Amino acid sequence: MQITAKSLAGFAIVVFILVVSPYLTDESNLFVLMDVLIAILFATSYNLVLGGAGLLSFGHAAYFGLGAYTVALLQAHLGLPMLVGIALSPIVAGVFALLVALLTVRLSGMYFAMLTLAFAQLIYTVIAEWYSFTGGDNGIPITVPDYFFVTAHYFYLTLGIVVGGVLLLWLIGNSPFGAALHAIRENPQRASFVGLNVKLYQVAAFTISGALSGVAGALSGSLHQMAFPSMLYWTESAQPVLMALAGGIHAFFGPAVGAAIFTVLNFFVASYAGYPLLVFGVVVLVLVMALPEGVVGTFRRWLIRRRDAGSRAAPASRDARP
Amino acid sequence: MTIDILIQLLSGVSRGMILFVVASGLTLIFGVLRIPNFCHGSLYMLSAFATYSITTVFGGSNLGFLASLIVAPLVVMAFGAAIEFFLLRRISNREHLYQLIVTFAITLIVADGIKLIWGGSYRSVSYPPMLEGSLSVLGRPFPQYYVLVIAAGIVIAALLALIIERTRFGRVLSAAVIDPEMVGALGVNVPRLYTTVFALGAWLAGFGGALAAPIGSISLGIDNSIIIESFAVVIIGGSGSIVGAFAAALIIGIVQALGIMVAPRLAIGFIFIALCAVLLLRPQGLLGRRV
Amino acid sequence: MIAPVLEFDAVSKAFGGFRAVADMSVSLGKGEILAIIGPNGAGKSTLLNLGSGALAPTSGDVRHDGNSIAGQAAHRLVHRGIARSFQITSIFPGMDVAENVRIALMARRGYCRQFLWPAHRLLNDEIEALLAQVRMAEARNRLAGELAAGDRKRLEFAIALAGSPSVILLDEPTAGMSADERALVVEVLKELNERLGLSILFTEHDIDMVFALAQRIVVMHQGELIAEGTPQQVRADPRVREVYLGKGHRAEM
Repeated sequence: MQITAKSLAGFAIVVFILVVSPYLTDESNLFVLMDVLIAILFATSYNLVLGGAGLLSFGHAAYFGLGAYTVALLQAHLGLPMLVGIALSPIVAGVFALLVALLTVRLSGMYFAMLTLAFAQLIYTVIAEWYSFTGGDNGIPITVPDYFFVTAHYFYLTLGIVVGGVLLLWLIGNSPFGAALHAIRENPQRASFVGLNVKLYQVAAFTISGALSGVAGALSGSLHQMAFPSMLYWTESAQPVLMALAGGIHAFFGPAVGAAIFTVLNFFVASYAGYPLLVFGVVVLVLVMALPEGVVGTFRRWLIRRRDAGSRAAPASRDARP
Repeated sequence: MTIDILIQLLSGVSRGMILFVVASGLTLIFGVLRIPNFCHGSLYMLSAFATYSITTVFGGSNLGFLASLIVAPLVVMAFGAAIEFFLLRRISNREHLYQLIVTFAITLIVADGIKLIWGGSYRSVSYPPMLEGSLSVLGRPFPQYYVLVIAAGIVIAALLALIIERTRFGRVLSAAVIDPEMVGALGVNVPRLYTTVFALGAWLAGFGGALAAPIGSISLGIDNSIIIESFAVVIIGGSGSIVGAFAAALIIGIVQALGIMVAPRLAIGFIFIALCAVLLLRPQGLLGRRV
Repeated sequence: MIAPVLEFDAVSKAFGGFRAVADMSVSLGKGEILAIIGPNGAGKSTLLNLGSGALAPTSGDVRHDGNSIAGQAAHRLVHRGIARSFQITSIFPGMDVAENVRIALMARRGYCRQFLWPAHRLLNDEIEALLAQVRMAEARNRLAGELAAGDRKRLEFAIALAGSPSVILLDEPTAGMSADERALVVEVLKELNERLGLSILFTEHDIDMVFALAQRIVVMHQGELIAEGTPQQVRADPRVREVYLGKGHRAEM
């Protein structure tokens, strides 16, 4: 996950294309693009826990949904504007993520997955049933200020926040903290015997991940002008897991690529196929069975193999791994 | 009032029994294969829809009911065995995460598959003619069918206990719950054990689905609610523990039935509070072994 | 009597009804090299686990520089200057050799709370020096998981040394190595002991290695201490011959 000149250039090109895209395409495509951007932030934040710390969370929809509800509830009860809600969403989602993480990190593997799922369902249940505060099943509308009612304006807001969030995650991944997470994922025993407080780092990663998932949720709620309970339902928690796995959890941009693939696929399948879940399920099945390292992981391996075939005598270097 | 509570308690027990039948399959699969089988709810839903078709063919007769109780779970069992054999087994050397995702993908496929075959509308199955009536419990009516459900739950529990206590398969199964690697070292054919356990688990999900079909309506979405309750049973009861699953399913059934009287909207919330409490205090579940 | 750096004071560790370590009192002096020997299941590894924070004693106390450390978490003990290696070499197989050492250095110095600085160029000189100490400088960029057993073990020493420890606990440091690799390990450990004054507590099955390296030997049997002394004294002890050295090692004595 090192910052190389090549990956930085690639990132800059993608961002540039996104910046000019309001001039290149129509509104409906911009809406899909915003959904893609939000999914990219969600999946990349999620992967700080799965690919970063090696913990399988199956409850991230809760933090995503809490982000949207932060915007909606602050507006409905305190009359605070959308931007304030978006700014506070990482704090609210992060606090909940912190509480859940403190209670769950003592378990590992599938038990951790089930416990995060259980807590997420608890949060979902409270939101879905507390009619007087959250509006229950009906959800709460979010009013978007006039300025952001212009699609291109909201697009730039989304783009700015998503690029900022992804850059932040990138820096975290490459920092000493990111290296500590990597160490913990590889060998928790050795990690604690070099002086790392394993649980503390896991809690920190989970909290950051939950907070940024909350930002993604706040953007999504504001885009669709609604916060509704099904954003937090357990089946939604599968989304970032699937995106991260499809793209590749050990490549920084893997989850982003997975998010783009799934969001676009979802859009086309929902619009043109009668049975979207069937198509989606089969795609997931094929990806998981055939490409265990994800699209990006597999592509990278292919590149390395091609390069190695070119220079047969090349010694095993640090690049020669997934 | 007390009689109302008693009746509510009894229907809670019957509800708990269906949950037990389904969740016992889930707990065996989780205990032995160590995968949270997300498609367990789909197997249940598939069986309920199959029951609808079978009873419709027989015109709602007693025979149709019996046929559905036998055929639907067997169909689901074959489907479950196929999932294990053709998909999960192929990726058993990878992290369990991938198997979990496969079972999740199957929930999507089954949900739309059912929509494709049966359409999206609600279906209902009537009680079999022989169990249409009600018993009188302290002067209040109590559906005869619920009595059958309770009896069936107890019979399944007894049979499972018998299999685990008295057969070689049962002993291997118990050993695998504790330490799957040890079982391999003892010369047991582990892949075959996994397929068998998954098939048995699927049969139990199917039997639960067939049993539940005449109660309430059959619709898309029943998979999502039963799977969450079943996970709760597995966690509270302890992974791989049949006795634990029985106790936990009863508790959940009763808490829900009584919770509906007190605060209808929060009934499911009580379960999650109980569940989170159990996980925090005794992560291995009430009767499970330490993980 | 040299000042003790690590003391086990009447420690016991029971697993259920089984007492793996029973009422052991041992102390490691500053700058001393102490070997713990004994047959399989004697409780040697359990003792190291008690000294490094992997386990908490059932009773008794463990002290480092006079302060009780019983029951403290492993990561805290690293920051007190206690490092260890494991019987099954414990490294980060998916990182390269330099990264393995770098994470250990960063963890010990508290850099890992840093979120935003890139890590990959930090501490290169220290990494170089540590790898040179264990004769691994040329393997710097190799993937740790692809190293041979002896190299992995020396990398583990480098990781342990990155914590600039005053005490290092080694669980069978030469298990599965060739004679040449063993000689290299003995050389490296002796040098560390002489140059840095590092106190070393190690367990070992290979008796030649024990006599080549240890200044003092403690013999354990069924969780208890049965003999203690210089290599010559232990060699001569009749009980030691009976329970341990008697089996297949008589010829070497």
